[in-house]
Amino acid sequence: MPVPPLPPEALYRRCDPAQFDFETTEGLDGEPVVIGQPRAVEAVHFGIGMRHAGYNIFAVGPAGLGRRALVRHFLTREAERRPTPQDWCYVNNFDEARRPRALPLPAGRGSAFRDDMARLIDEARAALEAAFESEDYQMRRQATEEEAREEEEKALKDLQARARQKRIALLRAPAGFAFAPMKEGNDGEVLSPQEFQELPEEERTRIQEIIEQFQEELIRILRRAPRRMRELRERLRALNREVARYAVSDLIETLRARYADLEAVRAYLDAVEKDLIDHVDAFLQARQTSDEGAQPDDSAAEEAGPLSMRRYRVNVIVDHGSSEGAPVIYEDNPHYKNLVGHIEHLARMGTLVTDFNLIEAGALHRANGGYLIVEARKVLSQPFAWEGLKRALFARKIRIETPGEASGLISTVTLEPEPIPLEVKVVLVGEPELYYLLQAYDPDFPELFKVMADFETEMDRTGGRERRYAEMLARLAHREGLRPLARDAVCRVIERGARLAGDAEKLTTHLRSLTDLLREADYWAGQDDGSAVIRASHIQRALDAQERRADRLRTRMQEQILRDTIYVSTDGAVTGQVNGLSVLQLGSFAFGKPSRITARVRLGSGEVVDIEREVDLSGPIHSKGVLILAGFLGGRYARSRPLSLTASLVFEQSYGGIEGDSASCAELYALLSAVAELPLRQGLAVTGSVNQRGEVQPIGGVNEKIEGFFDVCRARGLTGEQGVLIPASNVKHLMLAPRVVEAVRDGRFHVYPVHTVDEGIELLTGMPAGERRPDGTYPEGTVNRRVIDRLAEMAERRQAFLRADASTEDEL
Amino acid sequence: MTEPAHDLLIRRILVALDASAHSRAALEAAAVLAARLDAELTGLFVTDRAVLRAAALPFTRVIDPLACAPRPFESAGVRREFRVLAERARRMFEAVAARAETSATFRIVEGEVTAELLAAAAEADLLALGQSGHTEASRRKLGATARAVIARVDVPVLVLRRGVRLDRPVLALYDASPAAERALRMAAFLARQDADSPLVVLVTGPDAATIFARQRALIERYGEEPPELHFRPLSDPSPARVAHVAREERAGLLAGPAGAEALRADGLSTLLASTECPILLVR
Repeated sequence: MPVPPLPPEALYRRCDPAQFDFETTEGLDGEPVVIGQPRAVEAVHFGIGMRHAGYNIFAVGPAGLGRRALVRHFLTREAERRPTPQDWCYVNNFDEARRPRALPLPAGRGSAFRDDMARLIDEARAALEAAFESEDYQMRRQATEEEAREEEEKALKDLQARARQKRIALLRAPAGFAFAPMKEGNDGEVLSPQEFQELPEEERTRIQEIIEQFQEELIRILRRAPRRMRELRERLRALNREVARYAVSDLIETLRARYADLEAVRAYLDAVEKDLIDHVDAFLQARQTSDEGAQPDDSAAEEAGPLSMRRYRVNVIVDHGSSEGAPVIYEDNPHYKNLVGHIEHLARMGTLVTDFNLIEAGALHRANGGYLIVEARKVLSQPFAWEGLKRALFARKIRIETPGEASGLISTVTLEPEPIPLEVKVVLVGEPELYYLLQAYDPDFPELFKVMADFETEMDRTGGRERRYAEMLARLAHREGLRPLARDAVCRVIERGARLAGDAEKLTTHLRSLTDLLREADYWAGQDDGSAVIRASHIQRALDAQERRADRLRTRMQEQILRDTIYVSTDGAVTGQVNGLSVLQLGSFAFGKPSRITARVRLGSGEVVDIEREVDLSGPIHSKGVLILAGFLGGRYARSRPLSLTASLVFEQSYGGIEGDSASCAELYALLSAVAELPLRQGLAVTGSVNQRGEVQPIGGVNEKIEGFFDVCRARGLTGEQGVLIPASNVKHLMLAPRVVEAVRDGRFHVYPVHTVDEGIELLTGMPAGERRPDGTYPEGTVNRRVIDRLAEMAERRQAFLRADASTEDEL
Repeated sequence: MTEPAHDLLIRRILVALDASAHSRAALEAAAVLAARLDAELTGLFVTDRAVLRAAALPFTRVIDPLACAPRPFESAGVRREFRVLAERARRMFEAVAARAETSATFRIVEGEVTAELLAAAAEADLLALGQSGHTEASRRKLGATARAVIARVDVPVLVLRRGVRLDRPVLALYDASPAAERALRMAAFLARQDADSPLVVLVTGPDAATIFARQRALIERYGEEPPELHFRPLSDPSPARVAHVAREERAGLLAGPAGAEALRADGLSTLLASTECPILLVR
């Protein structure tokens, strides 16, 4: 009994609209968009729950599954329950400006502190200015200066007066002081040399001695000057400090009280106070220069001045003022700087300068205390980014440095901001290839990413999952702002989901394809007089349009077949020739294409020559398929005598490579037909692989293959004799296009599920295959019998030939 | 107040030079005023005869305050030092005068410093003086020479440590004396030259009523004319108080009667020490 064709119901598993209680997906709601990923969800939950270091998550799966959305959904839900992390600020390190200090503050108080500090400095400035301009200060300063000078002046004046009594003048020469004797009288004129010479000897000596005494005294007075000046400067500095302390201490005290609960801030405020007081001299000088109208560029003074705002600014790099719960950060561009933060530079007077105000936070800072989602491919393709991320995770600290510094290549003096402790859960999202490559080649990877969240590409269609699928579609449409789907549209999309999964019992979880389909259907719904909902017809139109856009190459292929450029027969019967089916994958679009496979046999020593393989156009799996069928041939037909034929197999008009074993069945039929000299029905196409026992095994792309042959047949006109032989185990994968299902329903096309080679050859030849009898023979009038007979005949002919050969040799 | 009366007309400004920083400030201020008033500028460098005489004595030594050691004091050397100083003063003078584009004369005389200055000042309408010279021990106080000159000179004297800033407010100390009137008119003239700088009159008096009356009188007399007058009643005209007001107003120049308490010898010294504002003493 030949195998009966499949009923139309088996070709397409419909989605029953009656199971749904809704008319449209409007208002149909549920939780996350992603469904069908229980394993990944469990893994993500586990990863979130594990507080230990290294339990970071790698979400593995091909792009388009909604990995990121799922991860983000669960992270966000968890993050809401977790405490809001601290704000972080960078402030000046007054002891060593090169190493800015990191200051943590409770969430939201960072920016408040920054504003407080800005206000403090404004006020401190005003207070200092007022203090140093006050009458009191001027008086005290003057008194101090006076006091210091008084001594010298008094000494000088006293000296001058005593000299004068002895009629000696103290004169100021261009380069110093000099003593000279004066004339009698009040005008104090200096003696001329003649007048001096005229004095008695004794008097001259006396004057000289007195002058020498005065000179020594003067030297003693002058020698004390440097020390006095130093003392004066010290006293003035002390005065300035005292005045400054008085001016700013109250302001600082107010802030200290406000931040009394924060040890680090209090310490910083102490440092600010000390620094303000230490630098008050510079402040005074700056004020004086600006007073003098040398008017340095105000902005430059603002930037560089010792008492500039910059010095006391607070650089809030992480501000959680408006955050609730832990942060969930997705870094779209995870290059090194964006991950670990960086230090900007300002160009000033042709050089680059920087300070703590120019420190910029990276994604790790923002995600600190929460979660960071990064795409593995992006982080791996950015130079140093992966290393930077790993270093931070290992150290559990964020250290801002340039890649050059990190690798020890550059050692110019720049900032070394204090590292910030890091507590973050990183989720990498990436393709399986990347995951396994990292596992294999990066020894750090298993240490840091201990949780694998493996995403499924398909889900079961059974047990109420169609309902959940419908809900997911509703959410997708809602999220994308699309029209709701009518019930029939939902069914159509579910059927499409099964087709995308390539399995009537599964549904695809590839959200991107579904989203695209819904968006396009929404567009067509809009074209359709502004329909309020997406209907099945719109879905179908979107699918047709997708196919139409992608199928230029398929149309060309078919055209070549229809115009007999590529030979494919769809009727009649030919010996040693069968229609095989292959699938071409072009991007996301796949289609089937019939190919003629022929076999020729001749006398030989039992080998099956795969011509494709001979010329290296065959992939290893194809070659394997051919060798298996040779095994089958030998095992079934050449148990008692050697195979005395040489067979050659070829994919006709194939100019590229062939891979896969799905043609091995067809090749076997062609070979059997060639051996038995039985013609095969050309209206049938064959797919399926075969094992050494002659069982037909399942193959991939069954839907595309059937449709590919169907389209050629339909173009030539369906005869009702045409059809495709598929492995019986592929029946559950059938989700054929409506046009095929319809033709089958009308009896114009057939799909035969085949379990064994015998069933297939029966359909193709119209002759029973024949059961092996206990004596190892097959009944007359069966294919197997004909094969055995033909092989026996060939074996004999070969033997006869060999004998003749040998006797010829003997004669020689 | 638009034009100075004849008795206030300033045609010749004398500046005493000794190449010190203060005398440079005096020179620059004098140049500013000369340019403003279209006056002629005369620079005077006096070689101190007493020093020359002392140097001629065989045994005298000079004590350099930097080295603090005596070294020989002899005529040729001292003359050379004076020449160097004079040369520096001359170069400075010429450069400043050229910049101010005023007609200028530079003179070097030998003699007793105060006497020479007074003699030269007798031929000038205004004398500009640095508050102290290059040999003064205390640079913030009024020098002995300046003090002596101020006490005996007849023409208005401008004493200063730093330059005149006519783009800043001009202050006039007013006690209703004839000299104060002259000082006020001169201040007004200078203030008016620069359209933007206001004239602040510090009105003094024994009591509030007098101050108020003086202020009223001034408004009546000058209220209509430019420049705009601002009044600051000053019940305490002590040098410290005046200095404070000058600082507060960021004054560019303070003019006042030479006889006022704040502007007499010791007061002037204090005032000069605590403000950088130049002071114009009018008689």
